[in-house]
Amino acid sequence: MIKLVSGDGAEFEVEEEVAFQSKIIKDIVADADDVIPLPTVSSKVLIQVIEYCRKHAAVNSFPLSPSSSAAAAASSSSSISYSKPVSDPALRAWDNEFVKLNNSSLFDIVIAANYLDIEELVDLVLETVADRIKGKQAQEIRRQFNIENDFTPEEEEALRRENSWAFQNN
Amino acid sequence: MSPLIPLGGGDDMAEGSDARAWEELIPDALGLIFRNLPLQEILTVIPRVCKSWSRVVLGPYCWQEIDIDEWSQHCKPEQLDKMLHMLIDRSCGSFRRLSVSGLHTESMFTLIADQYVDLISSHSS
Repeated sequence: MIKLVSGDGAEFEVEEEVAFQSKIIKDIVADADDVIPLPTVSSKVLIQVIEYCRKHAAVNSFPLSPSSSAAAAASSSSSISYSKPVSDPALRAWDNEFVKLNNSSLFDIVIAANYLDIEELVDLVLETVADRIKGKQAQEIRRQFNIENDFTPEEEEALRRENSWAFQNN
Repeated sequence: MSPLIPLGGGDDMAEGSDARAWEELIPDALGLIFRNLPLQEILTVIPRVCKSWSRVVLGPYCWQEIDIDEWSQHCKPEQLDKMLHMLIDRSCGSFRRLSVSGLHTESMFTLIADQYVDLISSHSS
């Protein structure tokens, strides 16, 4: 077991295969001990990240469950690739549920996932954020993500015109 | 991996607060987000959100993979020239993949070839 210690001092014991979803932890454990302080990660965020790692560790250790191998065979002959993000439809569905969080939580998770080097989780969150931006106007995006408008109205109008030439006849 | 927020910036442990500095995410991370969006939104919506997002769209981070295939099927030849020049400039030579339809002039091929790109999907009309 590996012990992870959050920035606010909470301790979490997890199995190696769960902790090793993080490449950084894997490297640390290789040449140090089994208690890993993660001072920049809060316990709230660490709980969520461990939940993700636990699920992915479980699925990755049985990568060819009957349902996923059938789906892999049906979709493409070259889809047995462990580095590719989430070809298993059940895991994909689980991921989609996992990211049903507010934007602040997603922000904290992506910072932690990047720090811990959990590439699939970084990709998952960034794609989710892109989906939340898609189809919205600038004003709406600012409101949703708490971003201050630092343009003057003139600057904004100039930006509005700037690339409009490209989409006028579509 | 480098940190996604600039060192010293951001209040990483401030739970409960709604404010997270999305505008302070480093350009690489924002580029990864924006590259999932349709071309029209990257060029006309994102730059108007705030100055830092605007800078990301002007720089290379969004344009390592340039996919204007769908757009280029409906645009005029002179628009295609202008778009390619603009995006290749922005990529600062960092783009690895280009998807485009209807390249019509030799100068366009030369422009692209000059970037030493790995041209995966290009159909000459």
